[in-house]
Amino acid sequence: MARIIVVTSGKGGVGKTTTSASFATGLAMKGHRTVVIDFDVGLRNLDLIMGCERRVVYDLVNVINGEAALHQALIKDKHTENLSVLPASQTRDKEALTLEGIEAVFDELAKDFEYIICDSPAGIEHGALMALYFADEAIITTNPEVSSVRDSDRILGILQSKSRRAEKKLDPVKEHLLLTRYNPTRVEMGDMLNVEDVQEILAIPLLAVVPESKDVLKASNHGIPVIHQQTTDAGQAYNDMVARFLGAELPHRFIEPPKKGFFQKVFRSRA
Amino acid sequence: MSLLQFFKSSKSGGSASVAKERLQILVAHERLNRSGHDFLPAMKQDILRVVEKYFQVADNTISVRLDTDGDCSTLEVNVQLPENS
Repeated sequence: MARIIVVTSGKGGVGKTTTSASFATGLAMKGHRTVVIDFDVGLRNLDLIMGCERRVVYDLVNVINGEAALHQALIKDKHTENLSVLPASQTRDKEALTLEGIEAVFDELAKDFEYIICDSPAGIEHGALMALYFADEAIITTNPEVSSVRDSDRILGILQSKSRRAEKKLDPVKEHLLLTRYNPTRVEMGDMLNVEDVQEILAIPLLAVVPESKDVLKASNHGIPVIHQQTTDAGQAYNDMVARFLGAELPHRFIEPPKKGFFQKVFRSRA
Repeated sequence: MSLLQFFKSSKSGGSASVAKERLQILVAHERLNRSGHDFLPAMKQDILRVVEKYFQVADNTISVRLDTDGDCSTLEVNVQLPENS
């Protein structure tokens, strides 16, 4: 049985696509056959972050409409074995995604893949509902910021009422909190919600904290998921996330600000 | 400036505590609204249909609110009747 995992948030710009790309890559690097699907119909972007934008021929909607076979639309990742990408369509018809169509695609993918990662669009409209409907687990991507936390709570409510598992009264969708763009220095100054605050409000288990990092932008500039950059904090954080998801017990990192010497503190340049 | 900041303990009284407090109130309220009270719009329509039998009322002149405070729930129904009734 393939596990279906949705990466969702409600709010836009919190790091869903960045997370989907690195999470899927990490699972594949650990030897699990993984496919990552872009559900953002009309605003395809996962292909750019994965660096396969020039190899897109067919997309998810083509497969659903029977205009292409699944294997024609799947793009094998160049950097990582066991990893494929299923791009979103650029059509403006948002209703192109149907539950029946998606279910048929998932059934076929389940024959070849262990993990199906769904990169949700922002919002709580059709596309987001389609992305989360079949999920077994959900990565709730949240920034330590009021609007993001509130929207994450909204999405949790939707997972608990509108997903297949909720409708069929099965075991609930397993929820994971992923705190991204975390800035420990600002947290220490009292100007940013800390991990415990967000966890307390959302009341779901913490999977990982990904620190705010310049390397994430650099990685997307190159079209290489940041998890490949194992010398960077963000890359290591995503690596921890994947390991913990697969059952490893690791202490949480990147929660404390980097230690600074006395002179650095006194003569700190304007941050 | 950075010298000042270094000697000033800014841990307490930051804006994060305000954010947390606001979120806790908001999230609690929003959870209440979605927890099993999906029937409110339907009930509102039913009440409206009964009232309509006797008065000419418009859809927007009725408001239904359900508030829960601890273990006490109050249902508040407000119907604005037309002046010539």
